[in-house]
Amino acid sequence: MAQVDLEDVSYALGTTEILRNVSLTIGEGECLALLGPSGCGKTTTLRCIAGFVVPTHGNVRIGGVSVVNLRPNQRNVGLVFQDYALFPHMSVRQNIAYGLERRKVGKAELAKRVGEMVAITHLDGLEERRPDQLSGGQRQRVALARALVIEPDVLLLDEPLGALDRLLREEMQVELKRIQRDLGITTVFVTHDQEEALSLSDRIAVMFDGRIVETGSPEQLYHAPQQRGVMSFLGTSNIWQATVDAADGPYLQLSSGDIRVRVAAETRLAAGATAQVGIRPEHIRISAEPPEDAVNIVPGRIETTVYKGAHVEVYVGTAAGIEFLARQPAVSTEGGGGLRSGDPVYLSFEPDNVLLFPSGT
Amino acid sequence: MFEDRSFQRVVAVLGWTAMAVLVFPVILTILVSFNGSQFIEFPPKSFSMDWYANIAKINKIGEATLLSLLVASLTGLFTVAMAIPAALAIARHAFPAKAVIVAFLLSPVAVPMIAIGIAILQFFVWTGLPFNWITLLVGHVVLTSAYPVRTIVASLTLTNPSLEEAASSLGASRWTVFRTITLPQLTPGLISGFLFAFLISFDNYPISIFLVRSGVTTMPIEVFNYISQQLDPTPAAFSTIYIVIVSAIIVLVERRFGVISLSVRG
Repeated sequence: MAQVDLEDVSYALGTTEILRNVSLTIGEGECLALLGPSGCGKTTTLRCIAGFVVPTHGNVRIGGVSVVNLRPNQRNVGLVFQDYALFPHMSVRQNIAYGLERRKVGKAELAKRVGEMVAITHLDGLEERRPDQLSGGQRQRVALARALVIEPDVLLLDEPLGALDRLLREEMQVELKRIQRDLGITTVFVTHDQEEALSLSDRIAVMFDGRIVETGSPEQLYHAPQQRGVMSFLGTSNIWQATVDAADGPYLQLSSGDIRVRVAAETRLAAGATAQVGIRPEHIRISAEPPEDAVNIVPGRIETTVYKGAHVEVYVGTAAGIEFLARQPAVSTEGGGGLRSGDPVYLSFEPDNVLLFPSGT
Repeated sequence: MFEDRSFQRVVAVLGWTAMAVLVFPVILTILVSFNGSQFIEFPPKSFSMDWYANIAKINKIGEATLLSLLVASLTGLFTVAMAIPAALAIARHAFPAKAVIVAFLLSPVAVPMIAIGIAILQFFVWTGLPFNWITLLVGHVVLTSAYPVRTIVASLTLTNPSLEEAASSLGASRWTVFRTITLPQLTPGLISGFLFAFLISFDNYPISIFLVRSGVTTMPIEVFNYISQQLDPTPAAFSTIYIVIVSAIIVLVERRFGVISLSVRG
């Protein structure tokens, strides 16, 4: 277990820059998610730590020691591939023991450690099976056991749950989190799935176009992202362009057509400046009459409702041409709790929940 | 179009016709070998096992078959050993003039055997080296070298490169990765490559005929000599044994490694 530092790491293939000045520290025992759309460089970053990619510039340290000149087999890194990469000609036991054999671990010690890992990953009874006789979830656990049994300084996971179906994915999320916590191992995992990043990690680094644009705890990044791109990538959101009217007491008022919003913004923007305004769908209330106590009220008309089980997604059109998505708890009455397409409604939301991104972010 | 009934029927008829054309000579050979008649004739008139006893009358058949087995086995081993690095380079790396080099490596398949035979003969005459069974071996290696390259490349393209990376990250050196991960993945390609080389060498006539000298002789040469002098079904009896043994080997290997499908894909 060790701290991992990426110091100003860049990587180019020919003239294509894949990583641009990536600097990141993953603390001892921390679980960090590298989140971003495909092609953003997150897998390359992971491969830099593993040693399959040698940065064209910058340094990688594991436990304070520079590893850029070490081949993958000389680094003590546990890697779980997206397709698991289990050795098809070996049994589960042989797969797990592979790294220990390379380390010349004695027979008794090897059997003991493989046994412990089999217990931790709930693979009891499957030791003699071949990978093609296992289910997807079992293969995932073998890959994890194989990477963990060598007691790596850092565990690297490439889209760890990407190949599993939804039910199994949720089960493995809990499982993965439990194992990571129990072993207290420094973990970096790559994902394009924001839900996976939010639920598994202690901290998320969002990558776009070869750069890390923002890092923070899942709560920070979800509720108070500093960048418009991060807000729209994490979860669903309503974001629109507006012009600053004036400061209004503790609030800043912005307008876009006849939609006026007041924001509890610390950033003081001059009147006339443009900015992006964002609100999460779950922070919007819908009512038939304008609520008396609300600071922000937007009139509109329901376009469609989509029933999602626990909640209903309501798309509301406004006179300014901006479409809002609001998420309401589903009421157990038929017809979506009285929300019908074409109904006039009022959207209201708290200034605290409105996020402001000055132009250029 | 492919769901069309009549189209499927045409394909089925063509397929079975091709099968019949391929299998017919084999069945004919087997039937003739049990014929009581003095001549190769069809349909057989009576049943007899006499021709099997007569195999020993083929000139030097035991000695020639042993030499053929030795040369074929070594041909298989050498060509496979030579093909592994070539196949790794072709399947895994880009290098200058790759297409030209690949075409050159696979060229023995495209050149008529007689031409290869004459070329190798001229080469050995020019070097002044004595003609013996090693000359024969060199000729067969040249002739068959292309086949293992093909089957091993096919095996390699089916393997998952992340297996090797996984092994490497678990602490395996390059050589250990090759020994414990790459090589076992290649087994089907190695076996089918060996089989191709072995079988082509074992019943090769057109090249061997140029490269044998007094005292050295191979099974196909002696069987052919016999046929050119006698008209009885003894060679059919010999061929039947050969067919049974080779078929058994192919069935066993296919069951164990599934290599035929691999060579078709290659």
